[in-house]
Amino acid sequence: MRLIYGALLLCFASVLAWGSDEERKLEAAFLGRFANYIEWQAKSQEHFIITLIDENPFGTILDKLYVDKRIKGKTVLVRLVTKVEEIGITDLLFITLTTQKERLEAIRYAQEHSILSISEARGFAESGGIIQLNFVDQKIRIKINYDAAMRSHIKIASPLLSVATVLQGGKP
Amino acid sequence: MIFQHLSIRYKLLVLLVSSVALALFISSCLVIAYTQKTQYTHSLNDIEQYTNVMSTNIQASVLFRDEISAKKILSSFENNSHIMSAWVVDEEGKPLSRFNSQVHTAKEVDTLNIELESLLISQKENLFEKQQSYHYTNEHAMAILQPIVYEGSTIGVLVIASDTAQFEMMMYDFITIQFSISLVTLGVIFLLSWWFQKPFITPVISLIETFQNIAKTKNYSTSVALKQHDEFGTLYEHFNSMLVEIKERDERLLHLASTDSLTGLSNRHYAMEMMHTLVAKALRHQGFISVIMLDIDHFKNINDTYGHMAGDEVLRVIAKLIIECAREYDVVARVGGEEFLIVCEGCDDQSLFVIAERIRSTIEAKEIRYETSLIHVTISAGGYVHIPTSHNIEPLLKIADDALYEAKMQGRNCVVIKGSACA
Repeated sequence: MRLIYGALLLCFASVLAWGSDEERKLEAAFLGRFANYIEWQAKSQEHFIITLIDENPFGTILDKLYVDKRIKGKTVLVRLVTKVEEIGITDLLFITLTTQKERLEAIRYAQEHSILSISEARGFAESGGIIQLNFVDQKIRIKINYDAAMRSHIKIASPLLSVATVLQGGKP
Repeated sequence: MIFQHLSIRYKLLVLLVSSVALALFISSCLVIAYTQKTQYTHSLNDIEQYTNVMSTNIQASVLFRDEISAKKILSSFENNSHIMSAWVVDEEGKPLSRFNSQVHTAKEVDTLNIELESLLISQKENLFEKQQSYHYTNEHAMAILQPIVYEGSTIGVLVIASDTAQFEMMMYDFITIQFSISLVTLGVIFLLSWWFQKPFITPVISLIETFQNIAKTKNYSTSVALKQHDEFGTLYEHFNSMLVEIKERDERLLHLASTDSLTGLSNRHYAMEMMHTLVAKALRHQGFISVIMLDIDHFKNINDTYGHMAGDEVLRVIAKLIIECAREYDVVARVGGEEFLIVCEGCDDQSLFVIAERIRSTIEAKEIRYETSLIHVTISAGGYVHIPTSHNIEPLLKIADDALYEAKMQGRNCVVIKGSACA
Protein backbone atom coordinates (compact mmCIF):
# COMPACT_ATOMS: atom_id res chain seq x y z
CA MET A 1 0.00 0.00 0.00
CA ARG A 2 2.82 2.31 0.94
CA LEU A 3 4.48 1.37 -2.30
CA ILE A 4 1.40 2.47 -4.23
CA TYR A 5 1.20 5.75 -2.33
CA GLY A 6 4.85 6.24 -2.98
CA ALA A 7 4.40 5.63 -6.71
CA LEU A 8 1.42 8.00 -6.88
CA LEU A 9 3.32 10.66 -4.99
CA LEU A 10 6.23 10.26 -7.38
CA CYS A 11 3.90 10.64 -10.38
CA PHE A 12 2.26 13.75 -8.89
CA ALA A 13 5.64 15.25 -8.10
CA SER A 14 6.87 14.59 -11.64
CA VAL A 15 3.75 16.21 -13.09
CA LEU A 16 4.30 19.24 -10.89
CA ALA A 17 7.97 19.26 -11.85
CA TRP A 18 7.05 19.08 -15.51
CA GLY A 19 4.53 21.91 -15.06
CA SER A 20 7.11 23.92 -13.19
CA ASP A 21 9.74 23.20 -15.82
CA GLU A 22 7.41 24.40 -18.60
CA GLU A 23 6.55 27.49 -16.63
CA ARG A 24 10.23 28.24 -16.08
CA LYS A 25 10.96 27.91 -19.78
CA LEU A 26 8.08 30.29 -20.56
CA GLU A 27 9.21 32.69 -17.83
CA ALA A 28 12.76 32.58 -19.20
CA ALA A 29 11.48 33.38 -22.66
CA PHE A 30 9.42 36.23 -21.27
CA LEU A 31 12.51 37.92 -19.80
CA GLY A 32 13.97 38.34 -23.27
CA ARG A 33 10.62 39.30 -24.72
CA PHE A 34 10.15 42.05 -22.13
CA ALA A 35 13.35 43.65 -23.36
CA ASN A 36 11.77 44.34 -26.75
CA TYR A 37 9.16 46.57 -25.16
CA ILE A 38 11.50 48.33 -22.74
CA GLU A 39 13.69 51.34 -23.37
CA TRP A 40 16.56 51.90 -20.98
CA GLN A 41 18.83 54.85 -20.52
CA ALA A 42 21.83 54.44 -22.79
CA LYS A 43 24.31 51.97 -21.38
CA SER A 44 27.73 51.28 -22.75
CA GLN A 45 28.30 47.65 -21.81
CA GLU A 46 29.05 45.10 -24.47
CA HIS A 47 26.45 42.52 -23.42
CA PHE A 48 22.83 42.58 -22.47
CA ILE A 49 23.18 41.50 -18.87
CA ILE A 50 20.56 39.48 -16.99
CA THR A 51 21.39 39.26 -13.33
CA LEU A 52 19.74 36.81 -10.96
CA ILE A 53 20.04 37.69 -7.33
CA ASP A 54 20.04 35.12 -4.52
CA GLU A 55 18.99 31.93 -6.31
CA ASN A 56 18.76 30.68 -9.89
CA PRO A 57 15.33 29.04 -10.31
CA PHE A 58 15.99 28.56 -14.07
CA GLY A 59 18.92 26.21 -13.75
CA THR A 60 20.54 26.06 -17.17
CA ILE A 61 17.40 27.20 -19.02
CA LEU A 62 18.48 30.82 -19.39
CA ASP A 63 21.97 29.94 -20.58
CA LYS A 64 20.66 27.48 -23.12
CA LEU A 65 17.90 29.82 -24.30
CA TYR A 66 20.07 32.87 -24.86
CA VAL A 67 23.36 31.28 -25.84
CA ASP A 68 22.98 32.20 -29.51
CA LYS A 69 20.40 34.97 -29.17
CA ARG A 70 20.75 38.73 -29.12
CA ILE A 71 18.69 41.20 -27.12
CA LYS A 72 18.75 44.83 -28.20
CA GLY A 73 21.43 43.83 -30.68
CA LYS A 74 23.73 42.56 -27.97
CA THR A 75 24.78 39.08 -26.94
CA VAL A 76 23.26 37.95 -23.67
CA LEU A 77 25.21 37.44 -20.47
CA VAL A 78 23.51 35.71 -17.53
CA ARG A 79 24.99 36.35 -14.08
CA LEU A 80 24.12 35.07 -10.60
CA VAL A 81 24.85 37.20 -7.53
CA THR A 82 23.96 36.71 -3.89
CA LYS A 83 24.17 40.24 -2.52
CA VAL A 84 22.93 43.65 -3.67
CA GLU A 85 26.48 44.98 -3.59
CA GLU A 86 27.44 42.41 -6.21
CA ILE A 87 24.82 43.50 -8.72
CA GLY A 88 26.99 46.07 -10.49
CA ILE A 89 26.05 47.04 -14.06
CA THR A 90 23.08 45.13 -15.42
CA ASP A 91 20.01 45.61 -17.59
CA LEU A 92 17.61 43.21 -16.00
CA LEU A 93 17.51 42.07 -12.42
CA PHE A 94 15.55 38.95 -11.54
CA ILE A 95 15.00 39.02 -7.83
CA THR A 96 14.44 35.81 -5.85
CA LEU A 97 15.38 37.26 -2.49
CA THR A 98 13.10 35.86 0.17
CA THR A 99 12.91 38.68 2.69
CA GLN A 100 11.01 41.91 2.11
CA LYS A 101 13.90 43.98 3.43
CA GLU A 102 16.38 42.48 0.99
CA ARG A 103 13.96 42.85 -1.88
CA LEU A 104 13.39 46.52 -1.10
CA GLU A 105 17.12 47.05 -1.02
CA ALA A 106 17.49 45.39 -4.40
CA ILE A 107 14.56 47.43 -5.75
CA ARG A 108 16.13 50.67 -4.58
CA TYR A 109 19.43 49.70 -6.21
CA ALA A 110 17.62 48.89 -9.45
CA GLN A 111 15.79 52.24 -9.43
CA GLU A 112 18.99 54.16 -8.86
CA HIS A 113 20.81 52.37 -11.71
CA SER A 114 17.96 52.25 -14.25
CA ILE A 115 17.62 48.48 -14.06
CA LEU A 116 14.47 46.56 -14.95
CA SER A 117 13.51 44.69 -11.82
CA ILE A 118 11.47 41.48 -12.12
CA SER A 119 10.29 39.10 -9.46
CA GLU A 120 7.71 36.44 -8.71
CA ALA A 121 7.36 37.60 -5.12
CA ARG A 122 3.86 38.60 -4.05
CA GLY A 123 3.45 42.35 -3.54
CA PHE A 124 6.65 42.96 -5.54
CA ALA A 125 5.07 45.54 -7.89
CA GLU A 126 3.23 47.23 -5.06
CA SER A 127 6.48 47.59 -3.13
CA GLY A 128 8.25 49.40 -5.97
CA GLY A 129 9.40 46.61 -8.27
CA ILE A 130 8.72 47.13 -11.96
CA ILE A 131 7.45 43.76 -13.21
CA GLN A 132 5.83 41.07 -11.15
CA LEU A 133 5.25 37.67 -12.76
CA ASN A 134 2.78 35.16 -11.41
CA PHE A 135 1.38 31.90 -12.71
CA VAL A 136 -2.34 31.53 -12.17
CA ASP A 137 -4.07 28.41 -13.51
CA GLN A 138 -0.95 27.63 -15.54
CA LYS A 139 -1.21 31.00 -17.21
CA ILE A 140 1.22 33.78 -16.62
CA ARG A 141 0.00 37.07 -15.23
CA ILE A 142 2.05 40.24 -15.57
CA LYS A 143 1.80 43.19 -13.19
CA ILE A 144 3.69 46.38 -13.98
CA ASN A 145 4.37 49.30 -11.67
CA TYR A 146 4.41 52.11 -14.18
CA ASP A 147 5.48 54.78 -11.66
CA ALA A 148 8.40 52.63 -10.57
CA ALA A 149 9.45 52.28 -14.20
CA MET A 150 9.32 56.04 -14.64
CA ARG A 151 11.34 56.58 -11.50
CA SER A 152 13.93 54.16 -12.90
CA HIS A 153 14.00 56.16 -16.16
CA ILE A 154 12.70 53.12 -17.99
CA LYS A 155 10.08 53.46 -20.70
CA ILE A 156 7.64 50.63 -21.28
CA ALA A 157 5.95 50.35 -24.67
CA SER A 158 2.17 50.28 -24.78
CA PRO A 159 1.84 46.71 -26.19
CA LEU A 160 3.48 45.38 -23.06
CA LEU A 161 1.32 47.59 -20.89
CA SER A 162 -1.72 46.34 -22.77
CA VAL A 163 -1.11 42.74 -21.73
CA ALA A 164 -0.35 43.58 -18.11
CA THR A 165 -2.10 44.82 -15.03
CA VAL A 166 -0.62 48.26 -14.67
CA LEU A 167 -0.23 49.97 -11.31
CA GLN A 168 -0.27 53.71 -11.60
CA GLY A 169 -0.43 56.03 -8.57
CA GLY A 170 -0.23 52.89 -6.43
CA LYS A 171 -3.52 51.59 -7.88
CA PRO A 172 -4.25 49.07 -10.67
CA MET B 1 -36.05 37.86 -92.17
CA ILE B 2 -37.93 40.83 -90.74
CA PHE B 3 -34.84 42.98 -91.28
CA GLN B 4 -35.08 42.56 -95.06
CA HIS B 5 -38.63 43.89 -95.05
CA LEU B 6 -37.73 47.01 -93.11
CA SER B 7 -37.33 50.31 -94.90
CA ILE B 8 -33.81 51.62 -95.33
CA ARG B 9 -34.58 54.27 -92.67
CA TYR B 10 -35.25 51.58 -90.05
CA LYS B 11 -32.47 49.35 -91.32
CA LEU B 12 -30.03 52.19 -90.77
CA LEU B 13 -31.52 52.86 -87.36
CA VAL B 14 -31.40 49.20 -86.35
CA LEU B 15 -27.83 48.97 -87.64
CA LEU B 16 -26.64 52.02 -85.72
CA VAL B 17 -28.46 51.21 -82.51
CA SER B 18 -27.52 47.52 -82.56
CA SER B 19 -23.88 48.39 -83.28
CA VAL B 20 -23.81 50.78 -80.34
CA ALA B 21 -25.69 48.30 -78.14
CA LEU B 22 -23.17 45.59 -79.00
CA ALA B 23 -20.25 47.95 -78.34
CA LEU B 24 -21.80 49.00 -75.03
CA PHE B 25 -22.47 45.40 -74.07
CA ILE B 26 -18.89 44.32 -74.81
CA SER B 27 -17.36 47.35 -73.09
CA SER B 28 -19.71 46.96 -70.09
CA CYS B 29 -18.81 43.28 -69.77
CA LEU B 30 -15.11 44.08 -69.90
CA VAL B 31 -15.45 46.95 -67.42
CA ILE B 32 -17.58 44.82 -65.07
CA ALA B 33 -15.15 41.91 -65.30
CA TYR B 34 -12.20 44.22 -64.67
CA THR B 35 -13.99 45.99 -61.80
CA GLN B 36 -15.01 42.69 -60.27
CA LYS B 37 -11.42 41.49 -60.36
CA THR B 38 -9.96 44.72 -58.98
CA GLN B 39 -12.66 45.14 -56.34
CA TYR B 40 -12.23 41.56 -55.22
CA THR B 41 -8.50 42.20 -54.89
CA HIS B 42 -9.32 45.50 -53.18
CA SER B 43 -11.58 43.72 -50.66
CA LEU B 44 -8.87 41.16 -50.00
CA ASN B 45 -6.38 44.00 -49.60
CA ASP B 46 -8.67 45.57 -47.01
CA ILE B 47 -8.64 42.35 -45.01
CA GLU B 48 -4.89 42.12 -45.52
CA GLN B 49 -4.53 45.61 -44.09
CA TYR B 50 -6.61 44.58 -41.10
CA THR B 51 -4.44 41.53 -40.56
CA ASN B 52 -1.22 43.54 -40.94
CA VAL B 53 -2.32 46.12 -38.40
CA MET B 54 -3.93 43.57 -36.14
CA SER B 55 -0.97 41.19 -36.20
CA THR B 56 1.26 44.03 -34.97
CA ASN B 57 -1.25 45.07 -32.31
CA ILE B 58 -1.86 41.57 -31.10
CA GLN B 59 1.79 40.53 -31.17
CA ALA B 60 2.36 41.33 -27.49
CA SER B 61 -0.80 39.47 -26.52
CA VAL B 62 0.40 36.38 -28.34
CA LEU B 63 3.95 36.84 -27.13
CA PHE B 64 2.82 36.93 -23.51
CA ARG B 65 -0.12 34.62 -24.11
CA ASP B 66 -2.59 37.13 -22.81
CA GLU B 67 -6.04 35.97 -23.82
CA ILE B 68 -7.80 38.93 -22.27
CA SER B 69 -5.91 41.61 -24.18
CA ALA B 70 -6.10 39.47 -27.34
CA LYS B 71 -9.85 39.24 -26.92
CA LYS B 72 -10.04 42.99 -26.32
CA ILE B 73 -8.12 43.68 -29.53
CA LEU B 74 -10.18 41.25 -31.59
CA SER B 75 -13.43 42.62 -30.21
CA SER B 76 -12.70 45.89 -32.05
CA PHE B 77 -14.25 44.07 -35.05
CA GLU B 78 -17.65 44.34 -33.38
CA ASN B 79 -18.00 47.64 -35.20
CA ASN B 80 -17.38 46.02 -38.56
CA SER B 81 -20.53 44.19 -39.62
CA HIS B 82 -18.72 42.38 -42.45
CA ILE B 83 -16.12 40.59 -40.31
CA MET B 84 -17.47 37.09 -39.68
CA SER B 85 -14.75 35.87 -37.41
CA ALA B 86 -11.28 36.80 -36.20
CA TRP B 87 -9.10 34.57 -34.11
CA VAL B 88 -5.57 33.98 -33.11
CA VAL B 89 -3.61 30.80 -32.31
CA ASP B 90 -0.26 30.47 -30.56
CA GLU B 91 2.88 28.93 -31.96
CA GLU B 92 1.55 25.45 -31.23
CA GLY B 93 -1.67 26.14 -33.07
CA LYS B 94 -3.73 26.32 -29.87
CA PRO B 95 -6.50 28.93 -29.90
CA LEU B 96 -5.67 31.97 -27.80
CA SER B 97 -8.72 34.11 -28.46
CA ARG B 98 -11.62 34.25 -30.87
CA PHE B 99 -14.14 36.80 -32.03
CA ASN B 100 -17.30 35.59 -33.76
CA SER B 101 -19.70 37.97 -35.45
CA GLN B 102 -23.14 38.37 -33.95
CA VAL B 103 -24.42 39.79 -37.24
CA HIS B 104 -23.99 36.54 -39.14
CA THR B 105 -25.68 33.30 -38.16
CA ALA B 106 -23.79 30.94 -35.88
CA LYS B 107 -24.08 28.23 -38.50
CA GLU B 108 -22.43 30.41 -41.15
CA VAL B 109 -19.62 31.39 -38.80
CA ASP B 110 -19.06 27.87 -37.49
CA THR B 111 -18.97 26.37 -40.98
CA LEU B 112 -16.43 28.96 -42.07
CA ASN B 113 -14.32 28.48 -38.93
CA ILE B 114 -14.23 24.72 -39.46
CA GLU B 115 -12.94 25.27 -43.00
CA LEU B 116 -10.35 27.76 -41.79
CA GLU B 117 -9.20 25.48 -38.96
CA SER B 118 -8.64 22.66 -41.40
CA LEU B 119 -6.74 25.13 -43.59
CA LEU B 120 -4.60 26.11 -40.65
CA ILE B 121 -3.59 22.48 -40.26
CA SER B 122 -3.02 21.83 -43.97
CA GLN B 123 -1.08 25.10 -44.41
CA LYS B 124 0.93 24.77 -41.19
CA GLU B 125 4.27 24.50 -42.98
CA ASN B 126 3.65 27.59 -45.11
CA LEU B 127 2.32 29.64 -42.20
CA PHE B 128 4.76 28.69 -39.43
CA GLU B 129 7.94 27.76 -41.27
CA LYS B 130 7.80 29.72 -44.52
CA GLN B 131 5.89 32.55 -42.80
CA GLN B 132 3.66 32.97 -45.84
CA SER B 133 0.17 34.34 -45.43
CA TYR B 134 -2.67 32.39 -47.02
CA HIS B 135 -5.68 33.85 -48.81
CA TYR B 136 -8.88 31.90 -48.71
CA THR B 137 -12.02 32.67 -50.67
CA ASN B 138 -15.30 30.94 -51.25
CA GLU B 139 -18.67 32.02 -52.63
CA HIS B 140 -19.73 33.96 -49.54
CA ALA B 141 -16.55 34.71 -47.63
CA MET B 142 -12.91 35.66 -47.91
CA ALA B 143 -10.23 35.21 -45.29
CA ILE B 144 -6.55 35.74 -44.65
CA LEU B 145 -4.37 33.59 -42.43
CA GLN B 146 -1.44 35.75 -41.39
CA PRO B 147 1.60 34.52 -39.42
CA ILE B 148 2.53 36.67 -36.39
CA VAL B 149 6.28 36.93 -36.49
CA TYR B 150 8.51 37.86 -33.58
CA GLU B 151 12.28 38.07 -34.05
CA GLY B 152 12.14 35.90 -37.14
CA SER B 153 9.98 33.20 -35.54
CA THR B 154 6.28 32.61 -35.97
CA ILE B 155 4.68 32.96 -32.57
CA GLY B 156 1.12 32.54 -33.78
CA VAL B 157 -1.33 32.96 -36.63
CA LEU B 158 -4.01 35.59 -36.97
CA VAL B 159 -7.10 34.64 -38.96
CA ILE B 160 -9.56 37.28 -40.17
CA ALA B 161 -12.59 36.29 -42.22
CA SER B 162 -15.00 38.66 -43.88
CA ASP B 163 -18.21 38.13 -45.81
CA THR B 164 -18.48 39.22 -49.45
CA ALA B 165 -21.65 41.28 -48.87
CA GLN B 166 -19.82 44.60 -49.20
CA PHE B 167 -18.18 43.44 -52.41
CA GLU B 168 -21.46 42.06 -53.74
CA MET B 169 -23.32 45.26 -52.81
CA MET B 170 -20.70 47.39 -54.50
CA MET B 171 -20.76 45.20 -57.62
CA TYR B 172 -24.55 45.35 -57.63
CA ASP B 173 -24.42 49.16 -57.43
CA PHE B 174 -21.74 49.28 -60.11
CA ILE B 175 -23.66 47.00 -62.47
CA THR B 176 -26.86 49.01 -61.87
CA ILE B 177 -25.04 52.27 -62.63
CA GLN B 178 -23.31 50.72 -65.64
CA PHE B 179 -26.62 49.38 -66.93
CA SER B 180 -28.33 52.74 -66.39
CA ILE B 181 -25.54 54.62 -68.16
CA SER B 182 -25.66 52.13 -71.04
CA LEU B 183 -29.42 52.53 -71.29
CA VAL B 184 -29.21 56.33 -71.31
CA THR B 185 -26.36 56.20 -73.85
CA LEU B 186 -28.42 53.87 -76.02
CA GLY B 187 -31.36 56.25 -75.79
CA VAL B 188 -29.20 59.22 -76.76
CA ILE B 189 -27.66 57.22 -79.60
CA PHE B 190 -31.15 56.24 -80.75
CA LEU B 191 -32.23 59.90 -80.87
CA LEU B 192 -28.99 60.95 -82.56
CA SER B 193 -29.34 58.08 -85.05
CA TRP B 194 -32.89 59.16 -85.77
CA TRP B 195 -31.61 62.67 -86.35
CA PHE B 196 -28.52 61.75 -88.33
CA GLN B 197 -30.24 59.24 -90.62
CA LYS B 198 -32.23 62.11 -92.17
CA PRO B 199 -29.40 63.47 -94.35
CA PHE B 200 -28.91 59.93 -95.70
CA ILE B 201 -32.52 58.92 -96.02
CA THR B 202 -34.13 62.15 -97.29
CA PRO B 203 -32.31 62.08 -100.67
CA VAL B 204 -33.20 58.40 -101.11
CA ILE B 205 -36.83 59.05 -100.18
CA SER B 206 -36.90 62.04 -102.54
CA LEU B 207 -35.49 59.88 -105.35
CA ILE B 208 -38.02 57.12 -104.66
CA GLU B 209 -40.90 59.63 -104.67
CA THR B 210 -39.70 61.03 -108.01
CA PHE B 211 -39.51 57.49 -109.41
CA GLN B 212 -43.04 56.74 -108.21
CA ASN B 213 -44.32 60.03 -109.63
CA ILE B 214 -42.74 59.34 -113.03
CA ALA B 215 -44.07 55.78 -113.04
CA LYS B 216 -47.55 57.11 -112.33
CA THR B 217 -47.65 60.14 -114.65
CA LYS B 218 -45.14 59.05 -117.31
CA ASN B 219 -43.95 62.61 -117.15
CA TYR B 220 -40.25 62.49 -117.89
CA SER B 221 -40.00 66.27 -117.71
CA THR B 222 -39.81 65.88 -113.93
CA SER B 223 -36.42 66.35 -112.30
CA VAL B 224 -35.05 65.99 -108.79
CA ALA B 225 -34.04 69.26 -107.14
CA LEU B 226 -30.24 69.31 -106.86
CA LYS B 227 -29.42 70.35 -103.29
CA GLN B 228 -26.74 67.84 -102.37
CA HIS B 229 -23.07 68.21 -103.18
CA ASP B 230 -22.08 64.69 -102.23
CA GLU B 231 -22.58 61.27 -103.83
CA PHE B 232 -26.33 61.86 -103.71
CA GLY B 233 -25.80 65.06 -105.70
CA THR B 234 -23.94 63.07 -108.37
CA LEU B 235 -26.72 60.46 -108.31
CA TYR B 236 -29.35 63.16 -108.75
CA GLU B 237 -27.39 64.74 -111.59
CA HIS B 238 -27.11 61.41 -113.42
CA PHE B 239 -30.74 60.65 -112.69
CA ASN B 240 -31.87 64.00 -114.15
CA SER B 241 -29.64 63.47 -117.21
CA MET B 242 -31.18 60.05 -117.66
CA LEU B 243 -34.69 61.55 -117.47
CA VAL B 244 -33.77 64.10 -120.16
CA GLU B 245 -32.39 61.31 -122.36
CA ILE B 246 -35.52 59.21 -121.84
CA LYS B 247 -37.71 62.17 -122.68
CA GLU B 248 -35.76 62.91 -125.87
CA ARG B 249 -35.77 59.26 -126.87
CA ASP B 250 -39.53 59.01 -126.27
CA GLU B 251 -40.14 62.12 -128.34
CA ARG B 252 -37.94 60.72 -131.08
CA LEU B 253 -39.74 57.37 -130.98
CA LEU B 254 -43.13 59.08 -130.89
CA HIS B 255 -42.17 61.19 -133.88
CA LEU B 256 -40.93 58.13 -135.75
CA ALA B 257 -44.03 56.16 -134.83
CA SER B 258 -46.52 58.90 -135.72
CA THR B 259 -44.97 60.63 -138.73
CA ASP B 260 -44.71 59.79 -142.37
CA SER B 261 -41.04 60.09 -143.15
CA LEU B 262 -41.57 61.31 -146.76
CA THR B 263 -44.03 64.10 -146.23
CA GLY B 264 -43.64 64.89 -142.58
CA LEU B 265 -47.38 64.44 -142.08
CA SER B 266 -48.88 62.14 -139.47
CA ASN B 267 -48.97 58.49 -140.54
CA ARG B 268 -51.99 56.24 -140.72
CA HIS B 269 -51.44 54.73 -137.26
CA TYR B 270 -51.29 58.14 -135.58
CA ALA B 271 -54.28 59.38 -137.58
CA MET B 272 -56.36 56.39 -136.46
CA GLU B 273 -55.41 56.99 -132.82
CA MET B 274 -56.29 60.64 -133.13
CA MET B 275 -59.61 59.73 -134.77
CA HIS B 276 -60.47 57.47 -131.84
CA THR B 277 -59.69 60.30 -129.44
CA LEU B 278 -61.66 62.89 -131.38
CA VAL B 279 -64.64 60.55 -131.89
CA ALA B 280 -64.72 59.88 -128.16
CA LYS B 281 -64.60 63.60 -127.46
CA ALA B 282 -67.35 64.34 -130.04
CA LEU B 283 -69.44 61.52 -128.60
CA ARG B 284 -69.09 63.07 -125.15
CA HIS B 285 -70.04 66.56 -126.35
CA GLN B 286 -72.43 65.48 -129.14
CA GLY B 287 -70.27 67.50 -131.57
CA PHE B 288 -69.31 67.06 -135.21
CA ILE B 289 -66.52 64.85 -136.28
CA SER B 290 -65.67 65.16 -139.98
CA VAL B 291 -63.15 63.51 -142.24
CA ILE B 292 -61.89 64.18 -145.76
CA MET B 293 -60.33 61.37 -147.79
CA LEU B 294 -58.15 62.78 -150.54
CA ASP B 295 -56.42 61.07 -153.46
CA ILE B 296 -54.08 62.44 -156.15
CA ASP B 297 -55.57 61.91 -159.59
CA HIS B 298 -53.57 59.75 -161.95
CA PHE B 299 -50.61 59.63 -159.67
CA LYS B 300 -49.35 56.47 -161.36
CA ASN B 301 -48.87 58.45 -164.57
CA ILE B 302 -46.66 60.96 -162.76
CA ASN B 303 -44.44 58.15 -161.50
CA ASP B 304 -44.38 56.56 -164.90
CA THR B 305 -43.68 59.85 -166.71
CA TYR B 306 -41.29 61.61 -164.40
CA GLY B 307 -40.04 58.81 -162.23
CA HIS B 308 -40.55 57.92 -158.59
CA MET B 309 -38.36 60.76 -157.37
CA ALA B 310 -40.71 63.18 -159.05
CA GLY B 311 -43.65 61.31 -157.53
CA ASP B 312 -42.08 61.74 -154.07
CA GLU B 313 -41.58 65.44 -154.71
CA VAL B 314 -45.24 65.75 -155.78
CA LEU B 315 -46.32 64.02 -152.55
CA ARG B 316 -44.16 66.38 -150.47
CA VAL B 317 -45.57 69.50 -152.18
CA ILE B 318 -49.16 68.23 -151.95
CA ALA B 319 -48.65 67.53 -148.23
CA LYS B 320 -47.38 71.01 -147.68
CA LEU B 321 -50.32 72.52 -149.54
CA ILE B 322 -52.84 70.46 -147.55
CA ILE B 323 -51.26 71.66 -144.30
CA GLU B 324 -51.49 75.24 -145.50
CA CYS B 325 -55.12 74.87 -146.51
CA ALA B 326 -56.35 72.90 -143.49
CA ARG B 327 -57.10 74.50 -140.19
CA GLU B 328 -54.30 74.67 -137.68
CA TYR B 329 -55.88 72.12 -135.38
CA ASP B 330 -56.97 69.62 -138.06
CA VAL B 331 -55.21 66.28 -138.22
CA VAL B 332 -53.58 65.78 -141.62
CA ALA B 333 -52.14 62.37 -142.39
CA ARG B 334 -50.81 60.38 -145.33
CA VAL B 335 -52.70 57.10 -145.09
CA GLY B 336 -51.63 55.40 -148.32
CA GLY B 337 -49.41 55.83 -151.40
CA GLU B 338 -51.14 58.94 -152.71
CA GLU B 339 -54.02 59.02 -150.25
CA PHE B 340 -54.42 61.63 -147.50
CA LEU B 341 -56.82 61.92 -144.59
CA ILE B 342 -57.91 65.12 -142.89
CA VAL B 343 -59.80 64.83 -139.59
CA CYS B 344 -61.70 67.98 -138.63
CA GLU B 345 -63.17 68.41 -135.21
CA GLY B 346 -66.40 70.44 -134.78
CA CYS B 347 -66.75 71.00 -138.48
CA ASP B 348 -70.16 70.98 -140.21
CA ASP B 349 -70.74 70.04 -143.88
CA GLN B 350 -70.36 73.59 -145.23
CA SER B 351 -67.10 74.21 -143.40
CA LEU B 352 -65.85 70.80 -144.45
CA PHE B 353 -66.68 71.53 -148.05
CA VAL B 354 -64.90 74.90 -147.83
CA ILE B 355 -61.76 73.22 -146.47
CA ALA B 356 -61.83 70.43 -149.06
CA GLU B 357 -62.52 72.79 -151.91
CA ARG B 358 -59.75 75.14 -150.76
CA ILE B 359 -57.34 72.27 -150.82
CA ARG B 360 -58.52 71.04 -154.22
CA SER B 361 -58.39 74.50 -155.87
CA THR B 362 -54.99 75.36 -154.34
CA ILE B 363 -53.47 72.11 -155.66
CA GLU B 364 -55.11 72.55 -159.04
CA ALA B 365 -53.59 76.02 -159.28
CA LYS B 366 -50.14 74.82 -158.27
CA GLU B 367 -47.51 73.86 -160.81
CA ILE B 368 -44.94 71.63 -159.24
CA ARG B 369 -41.39 72.06 -160.46
CA TYR B 370 -39.31 69.01 -160.73
CA GLU B 371 -35.90 69.48 -162.35
CA THR B 372 -36.77 71.07 -165.64
CA SER B 373 -40.40 69.97 -165.69
CA LEU B 374 -43.52 71.60 -164.37
CA ILE B 375 -45.99 69.05 -163.16
CA HIS B 376 -49.65 69.80 -162.88
CA VAL B 377 -51.75 67.62 -160.55
CA THR B 378 -55.30 67.51 -159.32
CA ILE B 379 -56.95 65.72 -156.46
CA SER B 380 -60.32 64.16 -155.71
CA ALA B 381 -61.80 64.49 -152.24
CA GLY B 382 -64.62 62.79 -150.39
CA GLY B 383 -65.86 64.06 -147.08
CA TYR B 384 -68.18 62.90 -144.37
CA VAL B 385 -69.75 64.98 -141.62
CA HIS B 386 -71.05 63.05 -138.67
CA ILE B 387 -72.29 63.33 -135.09
CA PRO B 388 -71.02 60.02 -133.69
CA THR B 389 -73.25 57.57 -131.81
CA SER B 390 -70.49 55.07 -131.08
CA HIS B 391 -66.71 54.85 -130.74
CA ASN B 392 -66.43 52.91 -133.98
CA ILE B 393 -64.52 54.91 -136.63
CA GLU B 394 -64.82 52.35 -139.42
CA PRO B 395 -68.19 53.64 -140.76
CA LEU B 396 -66.81 57.15 -140.80
CA LEU B 397 -63.84 56.14 -142.91
CA LYS B 398 -65.95 53.90 -145.10
CA ILE B 399 -68.48 56.65 -145.96
CA ALA B 400 -65.69 59.17 -146.59
CA ASP B 401 -64.02 56.63 -148.85
CA ASP B 402 -67.32 56.11 -150.66
CA ALA B 403 -67.58 59.89 -151.14
CA LEU B 404 -64.06 59.90 -152.59
CA TYR B 405 -65.04 57.11 -154.92
CA GLU B 406 -68.02 59.18 -156.02
CA ALA B 407 -65.76 62.16 -156.69
CA LYS B 408 -63.54 59.95 -158.81
CA MET B 409 -66.59 58.70 -160.68
CA GLN B 410 -67.72 62.26 -161.27
CA GLY B 411 -64.55 62.86 -163.34
CA ARG B 412 -61.98 63.62 -160.63
CA ASN B 413 -60.71 67.04 -159.49
CA CYS B 414 -63.86 67.54 -157.46
CA VAL B 415 -65.19 67.34 -153.90
CA VAL B 416 -68.09 65.20 -152.66
CA ILE B 417 -69.33 65.72 -149.11
CA LYS B 418 -71.68 63.32 -147.41
CA GLY B 419 -72.95 63.40 -143.96
CA SER B 420 -75.57 62.24 -141.45
CA ALA B 421 -75.68 65.87 -140.30
CA CYS B 422 -76.21 67.26 -143.86
CA ALA B 423 -79.59 68.54 -144.83
